[in-house]
Formats: sequence, C-alpha cells, structure tokens
Amino acid sequence: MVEMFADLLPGLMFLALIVALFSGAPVAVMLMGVSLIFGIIAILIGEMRLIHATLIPNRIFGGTIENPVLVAAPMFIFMGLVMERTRIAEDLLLTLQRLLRVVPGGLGLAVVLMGTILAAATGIIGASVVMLTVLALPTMLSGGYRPSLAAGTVASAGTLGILIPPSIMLVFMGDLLSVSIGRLFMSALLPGLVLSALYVLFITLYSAARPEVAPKAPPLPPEERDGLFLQTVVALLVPIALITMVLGSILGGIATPTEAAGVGAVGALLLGALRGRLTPKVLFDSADGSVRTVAMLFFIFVGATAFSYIFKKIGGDAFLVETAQSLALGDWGLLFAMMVMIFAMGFFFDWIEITLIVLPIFAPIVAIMDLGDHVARGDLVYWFAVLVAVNLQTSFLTPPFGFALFYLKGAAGNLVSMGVIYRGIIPFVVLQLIVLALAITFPDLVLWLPRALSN
Amino acid sequence: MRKLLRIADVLAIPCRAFAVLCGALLFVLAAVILYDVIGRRFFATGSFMLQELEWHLHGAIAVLAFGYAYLKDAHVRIDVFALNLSNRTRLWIEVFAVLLFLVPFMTFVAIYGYEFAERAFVRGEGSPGGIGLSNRWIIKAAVPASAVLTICGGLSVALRAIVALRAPHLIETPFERSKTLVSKNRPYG
Repeated sequence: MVEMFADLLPGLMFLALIVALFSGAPVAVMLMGVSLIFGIIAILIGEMRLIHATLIPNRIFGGTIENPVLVAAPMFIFMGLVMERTRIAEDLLLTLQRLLRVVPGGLGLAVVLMGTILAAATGIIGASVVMLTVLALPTMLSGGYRPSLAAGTVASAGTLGILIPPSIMLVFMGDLLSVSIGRLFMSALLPGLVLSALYVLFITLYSAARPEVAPKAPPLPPEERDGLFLQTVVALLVPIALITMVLGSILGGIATPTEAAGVGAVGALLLGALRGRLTPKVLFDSADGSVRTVAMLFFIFVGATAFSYIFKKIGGDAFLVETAQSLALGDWGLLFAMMVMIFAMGFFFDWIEITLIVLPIFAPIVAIMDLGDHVARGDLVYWFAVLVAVNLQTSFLTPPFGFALFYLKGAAGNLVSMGVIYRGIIPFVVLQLIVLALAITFPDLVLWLPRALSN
Repeated sequence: MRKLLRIADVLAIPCRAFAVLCGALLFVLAAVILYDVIGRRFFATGSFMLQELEWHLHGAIAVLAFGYAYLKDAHVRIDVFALNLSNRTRLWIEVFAVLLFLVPFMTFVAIYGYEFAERAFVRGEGSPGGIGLSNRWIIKAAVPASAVLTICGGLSVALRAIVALRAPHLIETPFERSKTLVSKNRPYG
C-alpha cells in the first residue's frame, strides 16, 4: 500500500503544484508549500530522511548565490531598466517612427525593430509588452492603423526579447541545462533574426498591398527635419552601438556574458548621463525596479530549487523517464510531447516559471534523447533550447489565453477589444510556426552560426 | 487592528533597508566587473578574488530582497482564474499561503541555513585552493538572512491582509502600490 503510494508520489506532487499555482498566490510561495508538504510526506513514509531535507539551504546557496554564470542576469536587467527609465528606449522608438514615416507600415516596423534591438531591455514578457503597448499602441491607432494590425505588432514584437540575445531567459536556460551561454546566444541569434525579418516583411507587404490598414504618415514638415540627423545619431545609433558591442563581444568570444552585461550596464548609465537624464530619481527608480525584478526571479528560483530537489528525492526523475519510455512514442514523439506541454503552459505562465520549473524536470529526458543523424548529440541541448524559446513565443500569443495577450489588454484598457487582439495576432503566430517548423526540419538554422563562429 | 498595522510597518523596515542595500550593490557590482574587465584585458591585473567578489555581490542582490518584493507585490502570480474570486477570498488565500507555506518553509531554511553558515565559520572556510576570498561564512550567512527577511515581508503582508479583511475601512490592499509601475494589477517592476 505504502509502496504503491510512493510510486505515485511524483505524479501527485506535480498535480498538486498545478492546482496550487492557479490559486493566485505567488508562484514561488506555492512551490515552497508543495515542497514542504511532499517533503514531510516523503519523510513520514520513509522515502527520504530529514538529513536530506536539511541540504536544501546548501542547494539554495549553490544554485542561486555561488553561481558565477547567473551574475549576468541582474546586470542585464539593470541595463534594461536604465535604458527604459532614462527614456533611451522611448527615444529609439520615436526616432525610428520618424525615420520610417514614408515606408509602408512604418510605425509598425519601428515597433518590430525596437523589439529586436532592445531585446535585452525587454527580457521579461510582461514588462516589455506593457512598455510597447503604452509607448506605441496609441500612436499607431491615432495614425489610422487597423487596431488588429497594431495590436498584433505590439504583442509579437514584445515577445521577441526571449529569443533574441542577450536574453535573460537564455542565461537561465544555459545554467539549468549546464551548457555554454555564449554558444546558446549564438544558436538563438539566427532564428531570432529570421523571425524578426519575417515580421518586417509581412508588415511591409501587407501595408503596401492594403494602404488603408496602415496609412502612410505625411512626410515630415521641413522645419522638423532640422536636427533629425543629429537626433538619429544620438537616439538611434548610440544605443544600437551599445547593444551591438555587448552582443558582439559575447558572440566573438571576447567577453563572457557576465563581463558584457556588467560593461553594458555601465554603458547604459553613461548614455543616460550624456543625455543629461541621469537624475537621482531615475537612478533610484532603475535600481529599485531592478531589485524587485531580480528578487522576483530568484524567489521562484529558490522555490524551484526546493521543488526539484524533493521531486528528485521521491523518485521524480525515474518516474518521468519511465513514464516517457512507457509511452513508446520514440524520441521524436517525446520531443513533440514536451513541446506540446510547454506550449500549453505558455498560455498562463511567463518563461520564468516554465524554464525554472519544467526544464530541470525535462533535462533527464533530453539527456537520453537520440535523434540519430538529424541532430548530433552534442548539439541537441542547444537545438532543444532554441525550439523551446520559439515555441514559447507562439504560445504566449495564442488565443484564447496567451500570456502576452493578457498584458496587452491590461495595458491598453479600452483602446482595443480582446476580439481585435485575437484577430491581429493570427498572422504573427503563423510566421512563428513557420520558423519553428524551419528550425525543426533544418537544425542548421540553429547550429550553423555557433559552428561557423567557433572555427 | 491599528496595532497589527503598526507591527506590519515595523516588520517592513528591515526589508526596505536591505532593498536599498541591494540597489546600491547593483552599482558596486557593475563597477567591479568594469574594473575587472579593464584590468584583465589591458593591464593583466585581473584576479581570482575579483571574480569571486562578483558572485558574492550577485548572491547578495539575488536573495536579500525577497521580502521587499513581497511588500511591493512584485512576485509573479497566476491570477487568470483567481481574478474571478472575490476580494475577500483572495485575501484569505494570501494569509494562508504566508502562514502555512512561506513561514514554515523559510523557518526551515533559516534554521538549517544558520547551521550551514555556522559550519563555515567554525571551520574557517575560504575559497577552494585558498586563492580567492576568505571568510566564506559571510556570504553563506546570506541564506538564513534571506529567509528571515522573507518571513518579515511575508508576515507584514499577512497582517495587513488580516486588517483588510477585518477592518476594510483602514486599508484596502495588503500591498504598497508604487506609482512608478506601469501596470496596475501585474507589477513586474
């Protein structure tokens, strides 16, 4: 009886977590609570000893604190928030919009380009979608854009940040899957740029074919053109130079992600200072916002550490691998099953919960996967991580739930209705599915760049 | 009820103080990395100690503001379905989550985290090989410190939630909403 119960324990633990998460209490607290309850049960039925549980503080130290790899995360967050609070991000968007006025769909293109360039500043989906909605949606609507196109552009550009490096999500994935973050960045770059290029292509062609969905703005009056050149240099080229330097030094193997992130943060502070915007209030707000975001991330990290530790102790790894093997899906079937699960989770969760909770659980399954000649064993983890990233973007945008859509609606208020958002998002979801299919069918889309750069 | 609010305010003080510390450490960390990079690339002075200092600083920033973030309602929650519940039900859930889950778990971490740091102190642990920073117990003490601060923040929120349930005319929400946040119900900082 006890033995049968013990066999079911990992499954029960996972179910309990899902129920607990939807209570609306903080995710991290629920992770801790479920770990606590199942830890006590495991000790009571003799599956684990108290001495094992007392190692949890040890694990927290090893995973969260004594972890040189994760030093990049708070620095990238800090860099992003400094760029947001000093309004460097806002200026970048406004300048792009002024430059692209005469191009079909110019305002929309500006949003996509900003999402691509500022991927670092927008690493957390909730925050980036809200920022783009507040900054760009009203302009597009008052410019006569069809609301569905405007909403779709904003939501999809806001989710680019998790795929295009330097992405905080990739930093965490690299840590959890124990692979090189620099190489993971290289792997994600090409699929990210292809996706962004497809967005640009779609918006341009659609607006050119049907000008009424995205009316061209009248050309700038001559008196406003004065200083446009200078403004372009200051507001556009300088931030781009900073991001390119940060990214380039990682991709070129000159700097580690930590070094690049720290120098990037100093660079963002300098940019803000040069523009005369580094007031004490801005400094305080950027630091305060970063502290909250970092605390939010690592609080879940701590909860997930306890969860996966107890889960392993009660036989979770074996349970998953056995369940996976008993399904007899084959390795391709397993890959598909994991992708479907991650896709379903993206309806409700940001990448933070998905990556921190699910990746450690999936890692043993990925480790035993073998796709023969399709993807070499050493490349499999990188390829898998990029597939997860593209998959998540699609999931965030897929009705009826779609995590990014909630944020868009929340920040837009009555500007757009949920139905309009759903309609607007469809073409972008299709483009993402195309990239996902391309990445699955042609692994070289992911694996070529790291190979070429390392030679 | 007003007494509970005062206790909640007192519990919030250490959380706030450590959040300010974390904020200041962000600048220190950025400066240390810059110094390390410049030194190593151009003057060949980079040291193992500096690199250790980087993760020490990161570790402190990462774990010492959990309680503060709770006060500010910055922690992620899945409220798709919970938004349909009444305000009172959600407040009760918050109280139970803190008292039954957060406080016992963090008490456990505080007790065994203290032993963990104490062991490092008694044994005089330093960095492996002895070329990095000594006194490893200081950063190890961040684990129990973080647990205690989280308990403070959690209890402060729970007490305010109880006041909001019992005396709604005093406060409506257990959280301090900051005006700098863009989103009203989903603050991500």
